[in-house]
Parts: sequence; C-alpha cells; structure tokens
Amino acid sequence: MDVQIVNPFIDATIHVLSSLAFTQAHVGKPYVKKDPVAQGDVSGVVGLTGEAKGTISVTFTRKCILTIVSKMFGEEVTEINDEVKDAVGEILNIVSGHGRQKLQGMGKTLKGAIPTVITGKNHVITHITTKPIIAIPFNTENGDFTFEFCLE
Amino acid sequence: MKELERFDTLDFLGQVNLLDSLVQNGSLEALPDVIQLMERIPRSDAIGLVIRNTLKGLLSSGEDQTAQCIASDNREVKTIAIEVAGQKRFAGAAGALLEEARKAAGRQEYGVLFAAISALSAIGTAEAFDLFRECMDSEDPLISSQCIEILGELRDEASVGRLCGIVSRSDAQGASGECDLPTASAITALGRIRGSEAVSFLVSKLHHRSPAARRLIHEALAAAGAESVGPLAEVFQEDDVDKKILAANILGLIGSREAGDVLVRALDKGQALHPNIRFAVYEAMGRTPGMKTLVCLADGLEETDQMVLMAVISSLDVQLNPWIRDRMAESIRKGTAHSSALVKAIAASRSLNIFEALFGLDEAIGALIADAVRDSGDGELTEQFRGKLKEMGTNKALAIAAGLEGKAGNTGGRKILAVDDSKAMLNYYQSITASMGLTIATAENGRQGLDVLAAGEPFCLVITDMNMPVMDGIEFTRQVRDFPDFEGLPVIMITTESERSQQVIAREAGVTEFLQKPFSMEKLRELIGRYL
Repeated sequence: MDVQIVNPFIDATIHVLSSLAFTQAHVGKPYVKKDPVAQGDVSGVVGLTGEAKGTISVTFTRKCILTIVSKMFGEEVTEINDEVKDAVGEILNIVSGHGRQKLQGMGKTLKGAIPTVITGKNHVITHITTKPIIAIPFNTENGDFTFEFCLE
Repeated sequence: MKELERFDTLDFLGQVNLLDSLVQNGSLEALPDVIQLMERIPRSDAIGLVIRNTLKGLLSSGEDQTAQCIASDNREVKTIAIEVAGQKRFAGAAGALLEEARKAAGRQEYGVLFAAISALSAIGTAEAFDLFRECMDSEDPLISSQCIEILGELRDEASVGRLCGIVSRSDAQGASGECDLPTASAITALGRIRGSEAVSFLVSKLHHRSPAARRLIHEALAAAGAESVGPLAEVFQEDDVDKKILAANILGLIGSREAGDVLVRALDKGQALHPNIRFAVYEAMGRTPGMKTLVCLADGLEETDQMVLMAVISSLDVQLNPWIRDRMAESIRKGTAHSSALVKAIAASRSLNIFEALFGLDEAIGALIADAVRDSGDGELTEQFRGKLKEMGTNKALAIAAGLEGKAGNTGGRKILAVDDSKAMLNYYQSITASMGLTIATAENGRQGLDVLAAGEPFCLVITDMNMPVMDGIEFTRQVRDFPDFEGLPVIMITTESERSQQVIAREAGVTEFLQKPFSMEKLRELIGRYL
C-alpha cells in the first residue's frame, strides 16, 4: 500500500468531476477490501507501470454515471450507451493523467495505459493481484462511485 | 525586474522564451515578479501554466527561497514550494515545512498537510518524526495512514505501542468485515518494524474480527519468518482452538525447520488434541521439512479420524522416504480395520507418490489401493490412478489399469461445487460426494468458485470454507446470491470458526447451512442429502 501515490488521484478525481461535470464529489472513509472484486453498473480500469505497477478502477452506479454524463453533455442521458462508455474512459484517462502529473512533481514517474470500460448490471471485475486493494468511496448528490487502487 | 517589464508586450512565444531564459539563467531575483505574474494570470490561461512551471524551475535552484515561499500567504506559491522542497530534498526547508504542517493540522487543511508530510518524509529529517507521530491519530484517514506508513518505513520502534492501539481499536469495533485504511497501514507498519513487541502483538490479533485485517496480519507474520516462530509457539499454550489452527497455518507458510519443531512440540505436549488442530498441524507439516516432522507424520498414520488421516497422508505424499513406505506397508499388511482406513485414505487423498512407492514394494498392496479407488465411484480419481499405473508400465500395473478402465464412475448427473483452500479437505469432500453418486467440481478460493459457477454448468449444491485467501466464503456467498440463477442454490458453509458473530455474518450473506468441524462423513452426507 502506498497512500502517497493514492492521494494525487483523489485530488484529481474531485477536480475533474467538478470542472468537467459540475459535480461535487465528497471522499468517504477509505478501506482495504477483503477481496479483489469490484461490482457495479459501469466500470473503467486503467493499468499503471513505472515506479509503481498496478491498476486503478472506478465503478459507478447507473444513476450516478448517468447524472454525471448528462451534466457533461448538457443534455439528459437516460441509458448506458457508447457515449457513456466513452465518457467513463475519458474521465478515467484525465484522472490518470492529472494524478500522474502530480506524482511526477513528487519525483515518482508512472505511465498509464489506455482505459478499458466494462458495463452490465452487477458486473464483476477482478484485480489480478495478491496485494491489498485500497477502496476510496466517493459520494455525490446523485449516487456513489468507488475508486480502487491496487498497486504492487 | 527589468526583463519582465516588457512581458505584456510580447506575443505568446516571446513570453515562453523570456520565462525559459529566467530558469536557464537561475535568475532568482525575478521570483517576486514571477509570483506577481502568477497572481495576475490564472492557471487556466495558456501562459498561466508556463508561469507556474517557471516558479517551480526557479525554486529548484534556491533552497532558501523555497523555504521562504513555503511560508507564503499565496496558497498556490506555498503548494509549489512544498512540492519542490520534497522533490529536491531541501534539508534547509525542513523547518518551514514543519511549521507549515503544524499550522495546516490546526486548521484542518489536509491538502497542505499531506503535501508537507510527503516532502518531509522525502527529506528524511529526524525533526519530523514527532510530527508524523502526532498525525498518526489525524481525523483524516489518508493523513493518518500516510504517517503510519512513513513510521513503518522508518522502523520507528517508539510508535509500536500506538500502532498496536489502532489495530486493537478496530478489532473491538465489531465484526463488520471492513478494515479501515489506518488499521491496514498499522498492521503493515508493525510487520515492517518487527521486534518482539510488534510480532507478539500481531500474534495476539491472529483472529482479528475483520477478515481483511486478519489476512494482512497473517501475511505480515509469515513474512517475518523466524521472528514469528517463538510468539506463534506460545499460542499452543493457550486454550483457543481457532488461534491454534491459524498459528499452525502460518507456521506452515513460514516453512522452516524451526516452524516444524513448534508443530512437533504441540503434538508431543498434547496441545493439539482437538481434531481440527491436528488437521491443521499435520497439513502444515507437509510444508515444514525435517526429520522430527517426518517422525510425527509417521506416528500420525495411527490417527483414527478419517479427515485427519487424510491430512497426514497428503503431507507424507510430498516427503516420502523408504522408511515411511515400509511403515505404511507394515500397517496395511496387518489387515485390521485401520489398515483398510489407511488404504481408503491413500486413495481419497490422491497420494500418487505413496501409491507408486507401495506398489513398487508390494504389488498386492497396490492392488488393494486400486480396489479402493474403483470402489470410490469417483471418475476423476479413477482416471488419475489409471494414468499413474500406465506411467509405471509394469505388466501388473497395466493389468490393474485395464481393470479400472470403464470404471470412470459418475461423469454426469447431479454436480456439487466444493470451495476450500485445503487440498486435503477438497479430497475429503470428493470422497464423500463420490460415495453418494454425485460428481464434484472444486475451487481453491471464492474467486475461483465464482468463475466455475459463471461458466454456466448447473450445480445442485455448494460447499464452502469460511476463511480462504483471495476471497473468503462469506464474500463468495454474497456474490453467489447476486447471480439471479443462484438465488436458491443451497450453500453449506464448513469451517472451524467458532465465533457466533461470524456465523451471523455468514447467515446474512446467504449461507443456507453452517457445519462446524469436526464432523463425521455421515453428518455431511445427511446434510447434502437433505438438499438434493
């Protein structure tokens, strides 16, 4: 576990959602997960390499992501379609970029891969790791989402 | 500064070149003007970002200036200076960082506090130790975890007492199953610091209420290796079955001769009387090589509990020698009821090494084991032994292999899924279900179990262990219940867990029946039968 690496991504998430989607996200109580599985309606996963290796994932509930994307596009989005999937990939990409930029400032260089987006009610994604997974729950007025960090 | 006076008259490229020349020339005297530009031009402006990078570049060559900027009232200047101080490891800025961190802690400005602590940890100044210790109890869990991690890296023995306090408090908070970040960090830090106080404490929390915390404790103790062996040995003097089982598992993971000696002593001194402890001890002995453990395992051949006997056989299968082979042969030749139990256990444990060795010594014993394999009705088991016989290739072996052909047993019909991280237990379930005419699929943890279920094959029942690596039985059951197709699938949880609270969580997760070890084959058969 390395909280110093996690924190820049939290700041980046709050910043990105506030500036792109006019959504105030509040950080909940972080915890260590019992298992390597994330469950939700829409998830994005991005791999990291460099001074830390691992994956970052974000999992949204349906209501939360539809509200965020509606605010981003300025029109109501009512179903999880390709545009929503693209938006999740983009959010994760920007968070990954901002977070890595901050870490670079702290002297830690990380490279990010291209995000993958998974959809489907109650789908399951698994981090391939034996290390503990840090989950950071966020809440917004329109539902919750969770960032998960799994770093070797 | 003169050069910057013409800044506004230049085009974008000219502005970039001008700012770049300041950094190249190390023009620290330009700092006040650059800060003024920053205050006037926002970051979102195209040149705004370049101005901020210029400040960063200039501060990188000025330790004193960086220290001054840390105390700046301008939040952006302060943040950049803190970042530079950490990146450049400016020891001269440590005092300003400490002062700023304390102010930020008082004002609960966690962003600044986090950055200042990161910078101080990069500089590594001893003056900051007290700050890290103070902030261990911060209300912000990320700050608290950050300081705990740093103190762990620094192997700060003075923090051990408070780290223990953090882990104890979360243990007392109830069995929600969740492990908060400071607790996880404290366990990892104690595992890094080690020393008798930290290791003994972790051993005392072997049975922490949160499964995630428990797993981290076990990993830390296994990683501490030799240092853990003494404190784990003391667990066997207590009167706690669950803890003794967990201690045996960790000693197995440590896998050293010393760890094996502790297991041997536990058996010799009568500290492992409960069958579940004996099972765990014998299973762990399979991973702790040494003459003493081998002698103990040989004595274990006299065990009467079928499950325990299978653990003994499984462990002997990986460290077989001629003396053990001869002793087994002698027991089997006696023709007693125990001889027959031994033969069945060798078959059910899939102990192909023992089978090959005994067959090589005495073909009649090999034939007895082959009979037990055939009688088991277990198709997969039969195939494994048949393959071994063909590999051995003697006339007698090939003849027996031919006899097993077509005795593949149940390959269709009703199927159950067994999930357990103990190979001996999976073999045990396999032998029970085969005798009931059922086929079985096995998985070593909840995650694998979910994959098996998700593959779409129909199952009529699931047997699962509670404590497993990767994904435990409770979470596995929760996830099973989330599949619409498996809402009504009976789930029997089998465990050594005796705490009532854990059973309540298991029931809430959707477990249908709870069966506590030790149990007889008949009891499990009856329970399975009830749901078929």
